[in-house]
Amino acid sequence: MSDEAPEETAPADPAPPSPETSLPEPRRDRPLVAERELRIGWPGAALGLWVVLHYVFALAPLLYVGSLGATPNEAPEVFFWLPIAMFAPSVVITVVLAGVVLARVRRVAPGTRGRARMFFLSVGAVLRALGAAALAPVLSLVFTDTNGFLVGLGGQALPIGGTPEYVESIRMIAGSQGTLPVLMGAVGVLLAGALIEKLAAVSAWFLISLRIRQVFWVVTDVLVGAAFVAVLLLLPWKPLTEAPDGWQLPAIKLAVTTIACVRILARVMPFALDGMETVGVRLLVAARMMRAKKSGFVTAIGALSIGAVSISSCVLTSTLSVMGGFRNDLKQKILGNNAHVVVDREHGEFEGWAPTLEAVRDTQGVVAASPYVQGEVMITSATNLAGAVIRGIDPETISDVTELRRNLRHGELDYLEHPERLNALRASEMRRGLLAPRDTGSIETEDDDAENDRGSLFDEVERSLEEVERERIEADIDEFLLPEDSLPEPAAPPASPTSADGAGPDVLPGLIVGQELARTLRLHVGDEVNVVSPLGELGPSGPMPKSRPFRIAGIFYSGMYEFDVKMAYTTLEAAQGFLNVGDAITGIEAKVEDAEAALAVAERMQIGIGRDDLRVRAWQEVNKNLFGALQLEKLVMFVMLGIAILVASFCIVATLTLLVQEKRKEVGILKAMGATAEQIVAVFMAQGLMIGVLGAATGLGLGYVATFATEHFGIHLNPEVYYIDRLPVHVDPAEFALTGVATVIVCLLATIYPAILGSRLQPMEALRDT
Amino acid sequence: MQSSREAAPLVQVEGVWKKFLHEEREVVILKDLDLTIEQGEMLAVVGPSGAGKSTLLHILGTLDLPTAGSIRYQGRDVTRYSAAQLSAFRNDSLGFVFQFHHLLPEFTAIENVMMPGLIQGKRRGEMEKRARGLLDEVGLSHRLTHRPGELSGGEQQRVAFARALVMDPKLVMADEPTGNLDSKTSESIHSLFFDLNRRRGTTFLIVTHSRDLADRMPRKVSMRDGRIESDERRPVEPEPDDAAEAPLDPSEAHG
Repeated sequence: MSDEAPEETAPADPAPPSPETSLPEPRRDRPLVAERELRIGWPGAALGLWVVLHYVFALAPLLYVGSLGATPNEAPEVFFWLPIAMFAPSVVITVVLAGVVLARVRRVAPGTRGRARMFFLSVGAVLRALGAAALAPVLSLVFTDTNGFLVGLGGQALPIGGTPEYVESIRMIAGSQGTLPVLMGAVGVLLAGALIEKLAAVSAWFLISLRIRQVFWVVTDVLVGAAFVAVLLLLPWKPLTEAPDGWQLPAIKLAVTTIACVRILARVMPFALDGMETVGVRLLVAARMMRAKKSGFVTAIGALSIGAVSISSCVLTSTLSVMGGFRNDLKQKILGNNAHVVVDREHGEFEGWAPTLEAVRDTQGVVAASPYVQGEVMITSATNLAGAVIRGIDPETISDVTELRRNLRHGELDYLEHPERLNALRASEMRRGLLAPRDTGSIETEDDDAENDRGSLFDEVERSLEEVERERIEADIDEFLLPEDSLPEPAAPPASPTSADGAGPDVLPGLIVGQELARTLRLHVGDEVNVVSPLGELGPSGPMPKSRPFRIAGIFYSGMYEFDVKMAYTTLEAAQGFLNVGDAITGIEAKVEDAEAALAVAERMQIGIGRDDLRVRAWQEVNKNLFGALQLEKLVMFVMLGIAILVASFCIVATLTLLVQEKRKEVGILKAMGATAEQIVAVFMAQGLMIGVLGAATGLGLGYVATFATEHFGIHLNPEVYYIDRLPVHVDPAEFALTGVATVIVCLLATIYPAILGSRLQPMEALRDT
Repeated sequence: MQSSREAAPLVQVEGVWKKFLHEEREVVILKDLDLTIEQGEMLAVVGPSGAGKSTLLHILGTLDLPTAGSIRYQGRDVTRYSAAQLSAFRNDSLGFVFQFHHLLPEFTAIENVMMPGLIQGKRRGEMEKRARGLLDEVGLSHRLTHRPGELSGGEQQRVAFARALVMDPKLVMADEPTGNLDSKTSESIHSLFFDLNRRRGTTFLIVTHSRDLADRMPRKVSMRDGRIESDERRPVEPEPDDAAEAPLDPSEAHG
């Protein structure tokens, strides 16, 4: 602004401190200091720094005591003095500095810029100091309480870290000592004071002279740049380990990169505006108005509108990414558990399928195909019963078509073909027997997950000990259960199913069930179940349900609840026999090279088969409803969050309308010089567009950082609720681009009205006001 | 310039009325006003406050429209121009100097002077050269990159003059250009008018309260109650200090 401004605000001036140092003098009526802007002076600068730095002084004793490694019981006197050592110096320095600043503020004329800020800064600091002063003795008593036990201290003596248990234990000890009200009051005052002083310190930043601020930013940028290069070279993007704190290094990298990007953006901005100025008179005027110092209100509302656009576009992109993640996850699971293309009949049975199967296999783009037969059944176990879909498959070809073999958690796919081997199971294969309570990733995952998450070394040692113990017991059981000859070579089948001398169990067809079904029925590999089909033979009193025993050959986990709770796989022959369909099948499932091109393959397949009674459907068609619903959900989300952007654009309308009011005179001048209405419209639209672009850019950046963090570090979900263990995220660049373009367009539309308002200003009216 | 003067007078105001409605009552500012301004003339408009001087200037400058009547610039009635035509006309044919200079605060002195050219879409380099020359002419070559806030009142008004002249307008209108300047600064600005008129042949219309300035102008139009009370022309004696360089310009011979 004016030439003399820097001199007035220079805090480094050595001359001014002299009056302040003579603070303890008796009061005399000194004239108020007349200043247009408050000179901060060294006490103000020191207080501002102290507000940030006092934590370091409080941390130093803490770290020192932590390094001693003593517990409160071993060294009570150390812990008695610890809180006092942490808070006392800080309190004294804060009170002295705040007192000096307050004394100075009192002598400055009211209404001086910065007076209120310095006032609140010192008042907040004093409040914090008071709170700390009251907190210190309470904490001393708590730390030296011989009856209390500080949770979270463990073997270490370092009482930092705000785990809920730790805080709770402090509260409980204080409660038992009767100092809880003092503690709560002190913490309340401390927090309130800290909040006030921080806010005041942030706003007081703008009282510091421009030159010093510039130097600060140069130093900061050099440090940020160095840190950026360092993390780029040294730290990984993805967590190296699955350990709970494995995300820390990538998180640091992400944070530093983000800060560096923000600073780079801030540095590039003036050059971008310079570049804009050379384009034409419209952008020249717009860029200059943008840069010009405006009234506080317009600046604030301008910043708010950038923030509003930024937040709404950030939320939109991250929501869409998470929804896309869920969709992708679902698609992955559907493609894993289902074939890409299914050939079946709408009504009746599908007979004479062998040539069709060949035709399907010969279709261009098909990798593998497998027949299946399917029917609704009821499965009863010893304890429970449940409805299920039994599906007869060809064990040889099914693994080429679906992921069934990979999804098996227990048992073997081969047991379907060799059910006799189920009678010679080893104890370790039964898995969910009495001996394996800690089997992770298995049926009763919910109990184990909580323990796994802790994942400490202690647990691991315990677990391996348990494993050794279990293996020993399992070996004992094997010895007891299995016939002598089959033990060394479990693959050798018994001579014939019926020649079991009545001693061994019957050989029953195998059945592979989903994890949820197994849980409901309390099934383990090797268990016997009854499968009941409602459509059985005709008995004397109408149709009789048909029942047949099966033996559990495996338990799979597909990740899709619907599958895990419904599907039961057996061999094609067993299912055909059980469902009484003869040689007919329900359909043929096929896997194609490119899942996205399944529709085209299905079309070719329809022609290749040459049978009109068969329908060929790709996975997209089979799950049309599901994906349609997802698509709709996404669209609704887009519209709703788009409305958030629209609301944010109202902010732009308000900003520009106020800006037009503020720039009336400039508009009048430009018009008197021959600027057309179109040019004025362009000037204001360009400014609104800059707000929109800036908001969209920061919002998309923020959204990218958020989704990137979620994707790489993972946010854990409760698998019981979502049937998925971490938040899935799918970053779609096209979606980001679309959001960006939509945001900018909405913002551009928002600028039209205020811009036209500005262009309608009559030059004489605009000029007469001044 | 010689040829355009023969065709038609620079400005011909015929039967111009200006009325406002103020709280249901009609207020008449200009009453059936006629005025003719020739190319290269220097014209002072004087009169008491409320006589309609500023309104006349604004109507002449197409910043305001008359209620009735016509304003012809070299025979063309500008009251019938479209908004876009008016903008273009203001841009290249008229120059304004306001009492409060009205410079754009975000721009430097030279950028302010360049602005009319930039609005027209002229190249920056070309305009910069012209603006530099003009600022040199008004004695501000040492203040090119200063913003209006960093200039004194007299300097600001000189920048405003340079800006008014940068497009070589037919008519420069000034509304009490020295109204809030001290007498010494005013005097230097007044000399600038005469100097520019003599050297460039620019037509000036100056609304002023300054008796001193009005008396020195070759033509003095007095207004009262929306009418022209008197229209005096007098032979101008050459300014003694500028006499030596004056004869170079042919337009000096007028009046």
